[in-house]
Amino acid sequence: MSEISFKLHDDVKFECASLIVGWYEDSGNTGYGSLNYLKDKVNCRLLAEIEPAGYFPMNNILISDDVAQFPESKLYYCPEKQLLLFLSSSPSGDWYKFLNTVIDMASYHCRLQQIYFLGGMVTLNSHTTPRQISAVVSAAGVKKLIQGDEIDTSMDYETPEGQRPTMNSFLMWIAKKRGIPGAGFWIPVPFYLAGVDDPRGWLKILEFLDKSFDLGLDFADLDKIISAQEAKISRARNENGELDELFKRLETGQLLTPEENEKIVANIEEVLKPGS
Amino acid sequence: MGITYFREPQLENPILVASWPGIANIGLLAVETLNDQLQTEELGEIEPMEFFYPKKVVIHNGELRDLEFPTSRFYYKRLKERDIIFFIGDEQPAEGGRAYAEGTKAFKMASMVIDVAEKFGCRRIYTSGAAVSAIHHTHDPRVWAVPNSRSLIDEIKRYKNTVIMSEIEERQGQGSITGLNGLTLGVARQRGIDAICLMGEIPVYLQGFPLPYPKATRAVLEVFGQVLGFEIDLREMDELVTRTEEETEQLFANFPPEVREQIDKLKSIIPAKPAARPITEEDKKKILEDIDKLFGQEPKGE
Repeated sequence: MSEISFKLHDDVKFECASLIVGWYEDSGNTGYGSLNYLKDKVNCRLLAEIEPAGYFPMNNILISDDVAQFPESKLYYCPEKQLLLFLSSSPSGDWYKFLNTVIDMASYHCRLQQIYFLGGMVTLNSHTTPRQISAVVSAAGVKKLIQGDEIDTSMDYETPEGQRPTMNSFLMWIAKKRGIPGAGFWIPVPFYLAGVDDPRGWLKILEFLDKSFDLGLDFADLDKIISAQEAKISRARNENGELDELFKRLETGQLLTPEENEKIVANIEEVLKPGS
Repeated sequence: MGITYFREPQLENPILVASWPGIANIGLLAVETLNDQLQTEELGEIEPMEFFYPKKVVIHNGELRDLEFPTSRFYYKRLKERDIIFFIGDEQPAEGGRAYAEGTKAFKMASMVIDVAEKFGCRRIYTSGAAVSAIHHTHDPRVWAVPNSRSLIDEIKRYKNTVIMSEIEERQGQGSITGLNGLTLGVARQRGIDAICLMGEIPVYLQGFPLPYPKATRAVLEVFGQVLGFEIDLREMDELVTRTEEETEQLFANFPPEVREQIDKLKSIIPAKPAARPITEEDKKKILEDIDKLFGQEPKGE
């Protein structure tokens, strides 16, 4: 590295670590929600961050749930578990430079053993349907590191016309070119939870990370959040016969019309909005 | 990162013809047609990662196999009179959802195209795009030609169906060209290379629809035929014109009657013949204002 293109908060150096990446504004807040939970649970501390200018529009700020937002891209470290966590907003420009800076920033502190990428994948299934994580690896050899009953590693996919690959795919491709093994994990998110939190999806990937990195996490608090969310959905179904009927059809594998899907989304987002 | 050359031929007195996507892809389609008809060979490409977000990921059996980016590729062909280099961009390196490149990245890409032109000794560059104009879709589109040097104007005036900005009603020689089809002209000027942008006219009310406008592409190709001194086979383009005219008429028939009525007034404006104009300036201004209100657009070059 010829110059440091990020802001250091802690100049600590250590032998090696695994990096886990999650993005804000992800379906079901999967990447952000699960990594933010993990960050607090394993006592991470802030190591470095990428300044937003040049990567994010600086001509305005977004307001979300009444609060002004500002893009952030932060790298955290958990020394006890040799884990680096990167949580970031998705840049809107100069992606190649930004994603290389992510790897530079993590590599400044240690040798990167591997990178894991977390993301939500919208499905037409209901939240009561068992979830199976799909994984994409940067090279066939990485499969043996992640294979288990709960991970499907046989995905075939090509980006459909009119859509674009995810930031995770772009970063994994760059990591691969730089010789760092990577694995992306896709957690199914029911379509009506895509715009809100999906804590059951978070739990699914966190259980996998817990096992992989021997983190010894206690999920009791997350279980409570899941129960509270599912209780709200059950209550909405009990109070709205039409909604319950749509859910029953969804749970028996029937395909709903786009209008019916929209009805479910509108109802569920209403009951799950903050303060409801 | 920079430019990858697949081969480095010695070219005789070459010119470079470049285009990027824009309104109705008028210029791009013209340059692609020339490139196809001349059966060119690949010369090189601008490495994409710095400029573009990838357009496709290929995953097979759970393994990331490939990430495809928009291409920015050069082609060449040796011809009797002079050799020719084509540059075809899949996309403009725009950020934040914008359609056109701007800022540092746009300047860098335009500079790289000119770098290639200089490397192979090009002394003339052409770009091509669309000219959003107050014409009716039943009119034959003209080609607006913008040179980067006053010394090229006499040459442009010899080409049929071509107008310079001062010959366009109410323009008085002024205007702008958005994106890389325009910026490349400026960078060429900075380096002392003559360049001309050829823009086929598209009716102001059709610019926002996702349809090609091959009538304008055909007009641009006819000018390229004069510029390059060879005959271009326009049969396929004529078929495309016929098909698209039917689609345009269907689209037009679906406009509200009051919109159609306003647009039809444009039929009375005879382009580039101010003396023969059968409606008043005031009428024309009113028509364009009404159309602007309906579509939220204004005439401009691209």
